[in-house]
Amino acid sequence: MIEKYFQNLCEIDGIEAFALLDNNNHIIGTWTNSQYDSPIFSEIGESYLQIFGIEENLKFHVDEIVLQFDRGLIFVRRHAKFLLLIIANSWVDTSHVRLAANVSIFDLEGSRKIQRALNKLPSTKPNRFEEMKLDDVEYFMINKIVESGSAFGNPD
Amino acid sequence: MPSETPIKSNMIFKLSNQRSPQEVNLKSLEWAVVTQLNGEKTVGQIGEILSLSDNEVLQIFSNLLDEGLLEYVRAENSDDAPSPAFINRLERRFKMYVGPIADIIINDTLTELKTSRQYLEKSQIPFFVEILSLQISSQKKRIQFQKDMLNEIKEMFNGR
Repeated sequence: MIEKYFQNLCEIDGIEAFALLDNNNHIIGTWTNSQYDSPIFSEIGESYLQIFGIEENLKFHVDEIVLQFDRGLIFVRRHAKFLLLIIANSWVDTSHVRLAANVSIFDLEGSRKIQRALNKLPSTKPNRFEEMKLDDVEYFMINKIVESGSAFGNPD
Repeated sequence: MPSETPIKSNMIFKLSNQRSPQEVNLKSLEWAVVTQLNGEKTVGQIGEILSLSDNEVLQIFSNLLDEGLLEYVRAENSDDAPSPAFINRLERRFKMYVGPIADIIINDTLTELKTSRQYLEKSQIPFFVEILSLQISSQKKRIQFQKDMLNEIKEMFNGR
């Protein structure tokens, strides 16, 4: 179903797969041209949701992350309601992918049916770091590091 | 030929009549290249004739060009270059969105990319379109331009 809205991406030679994930890492839809399957999207999605969650918390403005890996590149576009995750061969031009992503997301937002579906999705990304609690020893150690400027303590 | 344009293997040069090779202290391989220049052989062909690696031949041509010994003739037709008709359509479409300053923006962008209309390669087109589209202030119009150009790019890669 997802490919209907991302035809521009499907037509780029070298796009291996893409997925749309909501802010709770639930897969909305996937399209794949190769061996990638849902668990992979969830694993990658989890990492990027954390990255964007922290980024949101720090009030940075990063909308897109492109990383190379041994078999190609992972292009992730952030949207208020979802992540678009694209896996492509390394020779695929990032600008070409970006143009296709821009146009596809714009078209997607323009669809009333999709709008209604998007409205039901959560709009904040999880910030796992906020959920982390330090125990007293960790808290003491971090304070020491911050005070001394070194993980090995203050030489004086 | 625009300054700083990298030497490519499909380019054709001849000896410049502005400066003689005798005026310059040339190495033997550079002399060998000079003797092959006839305004018809490409850089790649000369490299093959002299059994030079791609890097060697490009470096020698670059040195000769810096010395002012070469005159650019033309680039042999290459599948890497978009058709002039494609470039015209791109310019026309861009003009529809930004008006008469389109030419200036296009020229500035090409200069930033250290290329020209003549040397623009197909592989550079998506990036070129992306950079141009940033000059369109309305998001809706910017995406519409990108959409138009995506279709053109698709047809270009499919060999229209």
